Amino acid sequence: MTPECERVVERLGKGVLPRELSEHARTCDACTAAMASFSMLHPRPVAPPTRTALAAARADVLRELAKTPVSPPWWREAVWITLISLLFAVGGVLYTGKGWKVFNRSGADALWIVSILLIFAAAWGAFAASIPRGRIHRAGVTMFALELALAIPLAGSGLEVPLPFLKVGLGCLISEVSISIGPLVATLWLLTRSAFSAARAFMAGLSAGIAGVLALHLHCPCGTFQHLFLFHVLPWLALAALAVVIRSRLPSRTFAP
Amino acid sequence: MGRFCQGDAQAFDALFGRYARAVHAYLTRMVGNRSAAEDLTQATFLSLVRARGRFMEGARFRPWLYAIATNAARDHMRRKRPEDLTDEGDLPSSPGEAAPMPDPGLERTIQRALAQLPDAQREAIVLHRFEGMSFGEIAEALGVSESAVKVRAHRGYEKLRELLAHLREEA
Repeated sequence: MTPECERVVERLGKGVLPRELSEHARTCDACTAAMASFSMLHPRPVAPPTRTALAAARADVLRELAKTPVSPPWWREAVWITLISLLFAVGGVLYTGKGWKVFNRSGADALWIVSILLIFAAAWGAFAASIPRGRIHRAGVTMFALELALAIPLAGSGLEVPLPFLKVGLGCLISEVSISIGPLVATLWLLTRSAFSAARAFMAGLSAGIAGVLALHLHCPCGTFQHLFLFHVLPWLALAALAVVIRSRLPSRTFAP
Repeated sequence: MGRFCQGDAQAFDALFGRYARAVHAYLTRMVGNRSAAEDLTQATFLSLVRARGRFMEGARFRPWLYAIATNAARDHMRRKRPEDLTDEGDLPSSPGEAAPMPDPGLERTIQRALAQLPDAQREAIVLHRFEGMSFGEIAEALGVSESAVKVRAHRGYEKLRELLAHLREEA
């Protein structure tokens, strides 16, 4: 589609095309077809709703309005999602680390910078999942999550644990999923307050999954790239993808964007 | 809208009186069934009330309302049972019985062609041609850029021509 085609579609229904555009429309098959079908579609009035249906709808909605005189603002969901995710992360650290002990042997800088980035990703992801119009935020969170997905294994200590690779990995995988499942369920329930959007569900899944990633980041002593990527990062991304699938099957409580 | 967000029933009544029929007409065109459109109109206004806290200050009301209606229609189509479709797998092709049709055969063909368009293109065309919305308003309602809406509309109109030709040949 050329810029001229875009100008032609803009002018549909607004009278005669200017000369340079009508020249283009004559030679462009797509524009000729578009103009022809536009003129074939006549906005014929549709049968109106029955009076009883309209009155019943109005009464029902007025009852709902009386029941909920105040509607919570959208950002409250973002705050809830972030808090729930961080609460589970703290719980996960306490449980898997048997207290506040940190077993990650990376340098202090790498340890705390990645932790702060993870907390930031949880908050930004929750915000991007909740804001009604957030295409830029959602693109930003996706880029940030991909960078984090590389940063986590790159910031690892490189330390190997003297246990079979798969055994250590499966332990981490199970811990991460168990810690993240709570925030994921809560987040998906909160998301049903708006219409299904795959991008929004993915953002919420990323945010909820941070609980498990953060707990493992502080607790897991194994610091090899393969272990961190396969058993810390991939399950996090897989949980976010799973959030999209589950949310698409849940009924929405409202259809608001 | 400000008064409605504070829970003012009169403000809601004004919005309902102004938009209910238009939303019903839009939904009838989208789902091809008058009684389903009545249910979806009710769902749209219920959503409007329940989620009015999600309305962004400074946004335009009409695109927001149509965004809710579009989401309700998409949800309905996603959950639609196969037995609700016609033998060809299309939407029911009669959007209502009220207005006299200059050419009922052509009208039916147009409805069938519209129903065969991809959802994104059908939404753009119905909002543009039948609801008379500007591309800016449609972009707000669908949550995409204005350029994306123009591309969808252009491709939709182009494809519609092909479908109409094909369906008329079949007839």
